[in-house]
Amino acid sequence: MTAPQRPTSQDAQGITKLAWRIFWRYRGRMLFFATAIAVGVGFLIALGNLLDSINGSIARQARTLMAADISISSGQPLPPKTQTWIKDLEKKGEFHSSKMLIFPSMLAPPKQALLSPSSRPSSVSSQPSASSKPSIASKPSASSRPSTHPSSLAARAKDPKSPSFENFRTPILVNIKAVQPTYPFYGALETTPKAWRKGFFGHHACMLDRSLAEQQGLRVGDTVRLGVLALKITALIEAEPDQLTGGGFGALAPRVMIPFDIARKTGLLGFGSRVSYRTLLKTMDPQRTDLRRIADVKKTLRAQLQIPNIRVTAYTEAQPTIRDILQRVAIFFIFVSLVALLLGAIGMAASVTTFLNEQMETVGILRCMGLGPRDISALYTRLCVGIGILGGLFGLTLGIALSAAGLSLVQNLMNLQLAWSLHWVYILESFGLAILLTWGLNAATVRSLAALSPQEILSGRQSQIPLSRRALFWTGLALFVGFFLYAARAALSLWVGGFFTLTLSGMILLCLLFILLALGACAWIAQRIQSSSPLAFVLRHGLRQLVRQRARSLTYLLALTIGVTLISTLQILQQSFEAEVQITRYNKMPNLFLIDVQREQVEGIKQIIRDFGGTPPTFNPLVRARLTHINGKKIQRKALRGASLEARMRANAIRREYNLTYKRTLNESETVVSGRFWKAGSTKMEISLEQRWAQRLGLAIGDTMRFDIVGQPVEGTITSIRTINWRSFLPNFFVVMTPTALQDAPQQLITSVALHPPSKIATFQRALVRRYPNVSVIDLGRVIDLVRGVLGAFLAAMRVLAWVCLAIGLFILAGTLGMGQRERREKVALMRALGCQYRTLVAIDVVEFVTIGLITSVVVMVVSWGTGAVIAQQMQIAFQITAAQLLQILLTALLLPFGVGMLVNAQTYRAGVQENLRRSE
Amino acid sequence: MQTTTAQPTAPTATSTKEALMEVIDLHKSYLSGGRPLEILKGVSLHIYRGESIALTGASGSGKSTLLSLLAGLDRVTQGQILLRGDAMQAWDEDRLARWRREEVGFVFQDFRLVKSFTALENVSLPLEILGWDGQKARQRAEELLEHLSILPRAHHFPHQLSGGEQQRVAIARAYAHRPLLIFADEPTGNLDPETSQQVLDSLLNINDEEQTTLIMVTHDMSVAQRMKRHIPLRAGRLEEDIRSAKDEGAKA
Repeated sequence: MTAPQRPTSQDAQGITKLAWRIFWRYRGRMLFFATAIAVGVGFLIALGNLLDSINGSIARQARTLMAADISISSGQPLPPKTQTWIKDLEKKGEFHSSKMLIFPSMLAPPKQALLSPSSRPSSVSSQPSASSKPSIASKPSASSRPSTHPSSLAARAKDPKSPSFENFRTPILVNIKAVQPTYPFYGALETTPKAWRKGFFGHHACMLDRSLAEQQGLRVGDTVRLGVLALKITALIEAEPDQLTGGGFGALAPRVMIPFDIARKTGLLGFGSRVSYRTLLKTMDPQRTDLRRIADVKKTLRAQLQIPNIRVTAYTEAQPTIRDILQRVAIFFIFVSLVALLLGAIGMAASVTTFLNEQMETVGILRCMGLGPRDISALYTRLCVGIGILGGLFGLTLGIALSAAGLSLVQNLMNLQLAWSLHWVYILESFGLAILLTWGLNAATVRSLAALSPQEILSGRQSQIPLSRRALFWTGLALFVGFFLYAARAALSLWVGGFFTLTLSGMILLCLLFILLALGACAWIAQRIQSSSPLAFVLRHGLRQLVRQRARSLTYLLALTIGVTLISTLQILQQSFEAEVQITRYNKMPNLFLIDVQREQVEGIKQIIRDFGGTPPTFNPLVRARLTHINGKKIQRKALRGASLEARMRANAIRREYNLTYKRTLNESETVVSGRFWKAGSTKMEISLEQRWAQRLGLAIGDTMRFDIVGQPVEGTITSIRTINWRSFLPNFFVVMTPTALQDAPQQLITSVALHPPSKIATFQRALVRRYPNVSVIDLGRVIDLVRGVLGAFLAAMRVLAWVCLAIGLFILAGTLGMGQRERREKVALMRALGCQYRTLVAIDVVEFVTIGLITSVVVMVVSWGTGAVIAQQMQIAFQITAAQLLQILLTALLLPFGVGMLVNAQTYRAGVQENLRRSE
Repeated sequence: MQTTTAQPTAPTATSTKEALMEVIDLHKSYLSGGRPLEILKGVSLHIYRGESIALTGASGSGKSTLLSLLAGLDRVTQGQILLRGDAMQAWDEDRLARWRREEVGFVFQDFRLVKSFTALENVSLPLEILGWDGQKARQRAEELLEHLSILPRAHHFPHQLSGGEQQRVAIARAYAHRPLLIFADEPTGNLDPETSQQVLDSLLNINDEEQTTLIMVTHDMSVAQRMKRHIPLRAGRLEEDIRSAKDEGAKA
């Protein structure tokens, strides 16, 4: 006995040629199979490539975003040892350094600035007028050095004993940045006029943010007062390169830049002032950047600077963090794309199975002509790979187009200079994913087809390819694992990937269970309808038609229900999300923040707001503090190199400076989800935390937290956890304490006001500043516009994806209902030959399609409701479903199979008996 | 012994009775490659109740086309088919369907059973179409299956039956509603000789018992010889009309 011969290369060539012939013969269907998977592949490729392009562009601009290679940021000056070490680096010719101070303070505009523009001199002189020039002769003594605390400055501004303040109005909150001539190392500071250095360094000069100048009626050449200095405005700031890294509370206030040398002369840097000390480092040869050297320097600095709340950042670190954040922003789209891919894959697999079933006769003949099971397997595997290649090509083309369009959208929204690129990984991924899916999902069917004997096929003993449960189990398991791994990679989290995969798998299993139950019920009903009436005949045969082809019915009912369920779930979520976003369109939504309000100013401010028709404000105290202990343990600085995003965020959350508040009752945007909020008169030291923040820090009810408030420890116990609707734009805080704990701490008040229409804002601001110059008004209009822009783009993208899913669903429906078309033709012909009337045959099919629709609609309504609720909870949006939505789902699920089914079978109904018999052969 | 009559069918002893069907100068053509292809070129014959007729001829001679026209499955191009004197080409699809439902049975070469129905359900189908209630239809189907010795296979699906069994189910289905006419298109064409004889026996026995008119297309001369009348076709024309001696004798 001889061993079976392996196919030679000639055989392989022959099989490839045969595969190509079949591919070409059925090119229309191959195109359909490829398109089904191409959409999902295209979306995934587009998202991946888009993220990489943004990430790459940001990485290239990372130095500009930091204005340096390394940035050291601290709440206190660097230790002498470190300063010496940095000087040594400069001496060795390795690095340049530049110092910077950032601190919030009060800036006093000149009185004349509030005059209307027509009553002011028209010339925009760069020189201040003699009359407005303040006296700067007298330097403040140490005892008169003011604190940066707004309340003390405001009080000082009204001090009649300070004659030099006569020409200035009471100051407003600004964010000061004191820079050295070497600033910025990278990027450009854009100003008007452009040449800002001239007349700035070495002078008592300053530059203001354009919005501040416009708000206060200031011009280049005017003189403002900062601390004890009068400074001439030499330019207006249009854009600063490291704006994003200038965070903190002060970032809400408008920027004022002053020369580094005069910062101390302002008298604002005394004890208790909140100054961020920054040192920027730049390699001397940026063309030949030695990343390892930057990393070494950073490591040494971190080792030397074991001081709490100090941060050393190399520009190379910005990239992974931004990538992580972008990935998270894109996660919803990635998941929807995965759903589109899954839908397409189901459609493709169902249609290819039908196609392979139709190929049985060809296989029987080929087997008789000498092709073995291995050859048949090779033949149809090649066909699947061919479909995969075509799908990959389509997916890649779609992906490129979508990614380029997406980049242009993001560029407009984020105002970033982004360069589009196509990474080879995505070319490979596109083809790999498409080929793997077409091959993987059809491998079991191909193997079973190849294993059939010619006799089984040609004798008609096997009417369908028998699929072993084992093969189905392994295919399902492989799909589950593959999906989980892909989702986890996309989400950068095993938990999120797992949640998504389990929700989806649960949904599919639920669909399967409901369908099996429904089919069982249909069979039971069909058996019991024995009446001789025409209606009974139609019902019996319609139901029988559905339940007798169990495998086929199961396949297309499953494809249909999963497809429509996913689409419906997506639509429900989209509408729930849109309903949430509607809040931001609500006219009473706050669009102004008032900060630095003193308690005695509250009533007066309320009156001004009333006069302008604003919403009644609630003033919240704001107390700055640092977290020092959790459950009695002192917070230690930890090495975060290579740590996960969660770990880095947690560490940053612990180390940052907090704005605390105290209150007796919750506002309308807060909901207690765990524990109990204290009663109004509570005298205990209690804390209420925001849910996500508590999760990030790993804190729960019963834990204790100790804060340092201007050197005083304040400790409390967590007694409740809250969720906050941040879209309310009400002043909200991660940490809220009982009044007992904080009411004696140094504090200011903050509130938000809704003032519509926005055209009133400018007049309101002037009226407010005229009476309460210390109060800063932050116009959220631009932020809200940006948020609306982003949300608008997000919703538009969601809508596009929902329509894409719907289109794929329809494709699948047409494909799956087209399954067994041959048999349907034969049956119609036979029934007609037996004297069945045309309308009776149509009525039988109507019963079948309406039953499919009913099963689909019930399953879809139940499952999409459940899945939508679970996902909405995960997305932290209020789940909303209306009767209209339910009706829409019902009608879609009911009418789609009916409409598509009748359309697909229209030709069969129109054809005569002979034609149908001929076509069914 | 056989007697031969030339085309068109001459009046015989049988023709003294009223013909069940009259075929007058029947023409049928199809478009093939954009050109009309004439399949039947002026066929005329009379068919009487209780006859068994074999239509024979080479492939493409038009025998299956003639059968489908007689059965009202297709429309004539020219000529007439009269059923009890009524011109069938004037009937609409509904009337044709009603006629088939009430008076016609079919047996196909490749059985044409509904794959998703059991043998019993396939046999019940014409009765159900006629509006019988399920129970009665089932009883009649069981009688027929028993008569054809396949009752034990009543609940099997077509793919679980042999070719002979499938064809016997098809015969039972054709006779279930006691039709006047049975049209059989090469009913033994897919069967081995032994099974073929068994199926033919079943068909002729039941035909005798039910006194049905049987019109059968066949290639097999031995099958044709067992019919009372044999009509060979050549190139779309009726070549001759042969009546068996037994039939002649009986009529005489």
